[in-house]
Amino acid sequence: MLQLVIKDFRANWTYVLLGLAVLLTLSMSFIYTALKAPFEVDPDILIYFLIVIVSSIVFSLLFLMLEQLYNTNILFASVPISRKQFVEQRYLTTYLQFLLSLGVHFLGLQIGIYFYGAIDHSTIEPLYSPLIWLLILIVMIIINGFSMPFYFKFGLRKGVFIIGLIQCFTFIAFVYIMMSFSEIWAAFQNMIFNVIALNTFITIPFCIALSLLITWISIQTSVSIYKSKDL
Amino acid sequence: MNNTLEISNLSKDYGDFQLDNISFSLPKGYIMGLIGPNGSGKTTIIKIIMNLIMKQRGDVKIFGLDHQLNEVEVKKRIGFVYDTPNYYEHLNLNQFKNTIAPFYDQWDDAVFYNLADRFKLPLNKKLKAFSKGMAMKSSIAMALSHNADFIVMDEPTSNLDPVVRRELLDFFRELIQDENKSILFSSHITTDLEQIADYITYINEGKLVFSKTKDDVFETYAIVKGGNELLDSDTKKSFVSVRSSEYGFEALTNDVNNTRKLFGDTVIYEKASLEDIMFYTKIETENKL
Repeated sequence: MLQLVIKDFRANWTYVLLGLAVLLTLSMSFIYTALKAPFEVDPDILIYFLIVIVSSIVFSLLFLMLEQLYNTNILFASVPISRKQFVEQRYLTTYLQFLLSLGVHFLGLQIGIYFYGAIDHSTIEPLYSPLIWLLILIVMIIINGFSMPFYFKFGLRKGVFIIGLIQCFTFIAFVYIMMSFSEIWAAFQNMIFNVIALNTFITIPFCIALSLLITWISIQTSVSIYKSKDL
Repeated sequence: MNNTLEISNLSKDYGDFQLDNISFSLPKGYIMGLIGPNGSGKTTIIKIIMNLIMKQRGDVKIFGLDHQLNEVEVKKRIGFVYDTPNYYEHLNLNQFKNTIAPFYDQWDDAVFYNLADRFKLPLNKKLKAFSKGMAMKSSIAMALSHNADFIVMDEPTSNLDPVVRRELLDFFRELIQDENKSILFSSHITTDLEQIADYITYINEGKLVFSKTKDDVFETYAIVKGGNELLDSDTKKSFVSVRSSEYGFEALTNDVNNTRKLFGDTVIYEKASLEDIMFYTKIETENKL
């Protein structure tokens, strides 16, 4: 299975480098501009992390895009690997891409700060929190867990469209619930924050366990979809 | 185990097209040509063999093993060539080889470079700059570099000029000198198959018309030409289909001995080509509809 992971990076390394360069520039320029603005923890950090999540997820679709462009799924379905291995490899590759993109974003952050010059580091402390970076990774893993079965079922183009629609509807429903039941929502939000504040040593492993469970269910679903799919 | 490929009662329903109860087998050491008009189901059969498409009923055994239960094992010994190349166009041939080779335990770089040299393939030229002939030769070089015992090719010569086609057919003829290797080769260019195939399997409208040795095909099928006065509803039944004009009739028979008994020397018998067989069978199918 490792061969499958390696082949994606080996065959497409120029695209990988290009993608990583974009991520690096994105992080670097956002932080540099935000610090010049001047920097405000809220909403700048929130926006930054949203950029990190969205751009990393887009970067993780790179190999799927190339696969669709060149129809290489037919090629690799014909070499001696099972469809189960193919699906598992796709997940593994995506997680490697997540780690790579987070690493590059963090590097871009450092470069942006370096170019800005002297800074009171206490104002940008959340940007250095390993816990926040870990949570971002978990969020990306969960989003990927929901999205992957759609990509295997419908292909990338249709899959992204369907996921986009689902996310839009979820967002609208979320805003509607927040506005219609603001007191209940506020109480629920407080409860979540209190639970997190109580003990991060419990909540973090819980989040990791949840993401692993979602990933496991997602892989099983994708395998069963892909095993019976006509290519 | 003498059969490289055994297909029995294979069916697949697409709604507007059905592959209907197909059965045939390919003995070890032979070339089988899979013929049929466009859209007859040749590519579907090849894709089912390669497990790219899921069958609905029937069995596919390759080297005596179920092709789905033993997918990895079986595919290690298959070399595949598809009608349209599926590769990363931004790579050159050498880089593409490096991407594919690690999947095969028996990959032999020496064989690959030898074939690339023989086919005059540039190793450092981007694949997107390859002509159709070069792309097809590259696929063939890839398919043959891991000591595959079974080569599956879907329309490998369909987009090639006559010179390249001839080169490839000569190469396949050489390849089959190794009696452990078998080739399944789909094409609607029947003259290619007349030159190199040992067995012919003819698929029309998703149905098996016949699967037999090439010699059997040419012994049983014939074109019959004669005067219209010889035709009546009974004599017409001895033909696959008949074309009549004011000068006489021309028909295809699939039982030349019986036709000889019926007409004797009152008609002319000519050898039927695969193209004739395809043409007259197609007419028959259309008349039935």
